Amino acid sequence: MDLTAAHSGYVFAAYGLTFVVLGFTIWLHVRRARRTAARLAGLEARQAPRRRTTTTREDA
Amino acid sequence: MRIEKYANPARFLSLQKSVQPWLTGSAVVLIVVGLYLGLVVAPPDYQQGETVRIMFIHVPAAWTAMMTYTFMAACSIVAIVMRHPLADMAAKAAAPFGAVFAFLALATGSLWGKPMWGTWWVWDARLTSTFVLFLLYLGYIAVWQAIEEPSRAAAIARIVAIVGFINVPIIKFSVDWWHSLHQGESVFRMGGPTIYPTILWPLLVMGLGYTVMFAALEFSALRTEVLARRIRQMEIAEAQGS
Repeated sequence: MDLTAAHSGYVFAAYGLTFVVLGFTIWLHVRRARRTAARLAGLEARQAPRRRTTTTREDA
Repeated sequence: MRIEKYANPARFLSLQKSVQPWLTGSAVVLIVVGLYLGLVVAPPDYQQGETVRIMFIHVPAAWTAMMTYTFMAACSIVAIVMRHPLADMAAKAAAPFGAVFAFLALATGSLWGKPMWGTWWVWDARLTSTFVLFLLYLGYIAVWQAIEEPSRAAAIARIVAIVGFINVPIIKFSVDWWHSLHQGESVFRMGGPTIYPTILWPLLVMGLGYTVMFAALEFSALRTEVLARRIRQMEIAEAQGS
């Protein structure tokens, strides 16, 4: 690509915008995925002892 | 292998775990190769000059935006007819990515239009119908955001996806049905593409790269949706138990 050609600024702007928007979208998505997984792990850890105590022989 | 097998969320999660690295890796490789072909190998167009390189990101974004909406409409039909538990979640997970692709198609098209047409925007049939597609995505996302009860939100969102799908063939054939400033079909047309191979190949590789990127994002987002629904069920169970 000729960086000094006419209108090459529009090409830079288009590619720059695409990288920024796609990068931000992927970052948001990954952040949500991690937070959701962490929240589920926290809930499972919180509920696990309760489940265990209800199934022990002493409780029965 | 029956695809319905993977309508079970647990089976889907195990499939997603094994497929995800391949999808992500393939998307990265295809996009890197496509960028190399588009920015280094492809020559400038004899009329458009360097501006033709915007096509390698504009056209795949537009294709993927239309494909994503078609996928959402298909998922909505499957949700109504076959009651697959993952179908609504798949459509919901796809919508934000579709909106991003539609936005990028509009924005990069505008950046191409200014040097080539002398204007950022015209209310042309192709441009307007693509803008309507972007609004449909926003409307679909708004339905899920506005209605708290998932089953009610899903019922309305399915209608938005299926009714809105009528816009997809309008976008595709708008350049044939109306006099348009936008160029006519030059890739998927009867009689074969009219684009020279040095321009066509980067376009096709980038198109495939965007499609696989969507698939990678969709698989990952669907996993998040499944986990989010599990959280909701656990929270409801916890609230009822306390």
